[in-house]
Amino acid sequence: MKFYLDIFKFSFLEEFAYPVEILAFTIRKLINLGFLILFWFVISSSNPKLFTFEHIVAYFLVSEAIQDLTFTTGGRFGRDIQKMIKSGTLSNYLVKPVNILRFLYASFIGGRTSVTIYAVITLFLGIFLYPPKEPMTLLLFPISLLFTAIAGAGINIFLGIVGFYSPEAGSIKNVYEHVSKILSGALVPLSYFPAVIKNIATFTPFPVLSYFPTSILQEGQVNHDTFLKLGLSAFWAVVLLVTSNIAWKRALRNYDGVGI
Amino acid sequence: MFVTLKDRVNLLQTNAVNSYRVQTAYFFENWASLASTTFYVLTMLLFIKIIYSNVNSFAGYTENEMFFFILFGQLNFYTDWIWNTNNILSMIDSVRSGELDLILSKPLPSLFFVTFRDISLVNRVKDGIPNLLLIALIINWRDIHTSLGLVLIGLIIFICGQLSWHCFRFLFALPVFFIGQSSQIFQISGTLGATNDIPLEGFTGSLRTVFISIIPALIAAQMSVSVILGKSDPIQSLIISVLVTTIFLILKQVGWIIALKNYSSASS
Repeated sequence: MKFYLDIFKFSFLEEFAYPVEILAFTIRKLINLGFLILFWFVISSSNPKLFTFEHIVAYFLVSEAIQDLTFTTGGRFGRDIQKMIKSGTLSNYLVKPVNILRFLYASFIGGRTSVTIYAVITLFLGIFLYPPKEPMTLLLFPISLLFTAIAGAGINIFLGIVGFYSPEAGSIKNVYEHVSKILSGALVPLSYFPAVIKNIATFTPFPVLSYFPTSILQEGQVNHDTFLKLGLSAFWAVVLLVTSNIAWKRALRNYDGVGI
Repeated sequence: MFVTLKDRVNLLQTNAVNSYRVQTAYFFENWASLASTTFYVLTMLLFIKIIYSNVNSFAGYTENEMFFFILFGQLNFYTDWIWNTNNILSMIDSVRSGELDLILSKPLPSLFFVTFRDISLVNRVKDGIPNLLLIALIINWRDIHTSLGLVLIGLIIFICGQLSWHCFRFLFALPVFFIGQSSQIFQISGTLGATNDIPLEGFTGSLRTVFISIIPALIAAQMSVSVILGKSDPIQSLIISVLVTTIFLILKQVGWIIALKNYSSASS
């Protein structure tokens, strides 16, 4: 465990060696958030009965924070794995006596400290703007966040695995990003979806990545629906983690090891 | 150096052929790229459907008008992808690697060359046409009330928007000549253009002024659609867009001259 903590620390220090990158990242995040808020402001201006502006802003603050805290945004961990496979640098790690997925993940999250700090700030801002009405949700939220992180890691590993079968796999990650953005509730809360699409989306792993934890935190009460969301999150976390690890081991057997 | 129009056309043709060879070398990536853009369009259409299942109007746009707006947004995206962003990224790389030395030493109009170096026509047309057709099929064209005059003015505004947006992003790339890197600053300029799901009417007051005149992100898609649909004064919009484009073209030219004066070759 200490070894993986050291890897985390190393990536952490490496990230903070480039302060301009961190500043640029923060500016980009704020601009994106600004446009999203403007979009919903325009909707709320012409349809004031649909939702309160504070609620929708809080939803997106929390939702974005969850995606950043669990590293599910844009499948970046998967993209990094794909790059390593394509360039052959994965070979450098394969010859080392380490659990390669844990090693890569520790290194990845260590290099995302600025993202984490930004996410924590937006999470608290979201909670401040629209405080949870039921204290119990504050206990259930971290559990759902953990399931989201595990499910997100599983999906990212699957995205990385595509790189074993095709070195030109960048666009597959983009497909995931587009589908995930809408079905996870990152663009529109699932509660505004037409019933049919909402029902279909609920049983895919995507809402686990954003909508379920956000709605668990912001719901006014803990009920059957809350535990259904938690149950589905747990189910997808286990399924994706187990299957992605199996698929990873199988994919490694097909690895040609460019660069050795 | 005197360069004729024929020379420039020949240069464009050579660049387009070279780009075609590069693009067709990666079979899987080509089709995956089409899948990616198609999924993007499908999710955008789904997004609009979801929004309009809750509201009747968004910034004064009906669902059908919003699809028309998305069509123009996508046209703007693919046009940009053909000639704009990739060339500026190549320029940043060539300054950092010292490859710009080679370009400057050739008897070429250097600014013209770096602007049109990579014309990704084949791939973008292959990705763009099916998606644009898909959106066009969804639009109920009978409910789009416009005239030939408005469409023509809209198209001129669209071209002005493309040019001014290119110049704006080009200026964000120039710090590479001074500090040796500009990728992050350049990415910020791209984020400022991520306005493609909000119509012009969603931007009000000083926000609209800023996003037309200082950050010309709303001209190509938003302003042209607004004019075509008769929601904005066509002549006033045309004058503003031509004026903004002219200023940005001058800024680009001046910026390039200043940047070259500060260029210290990375390879020498």
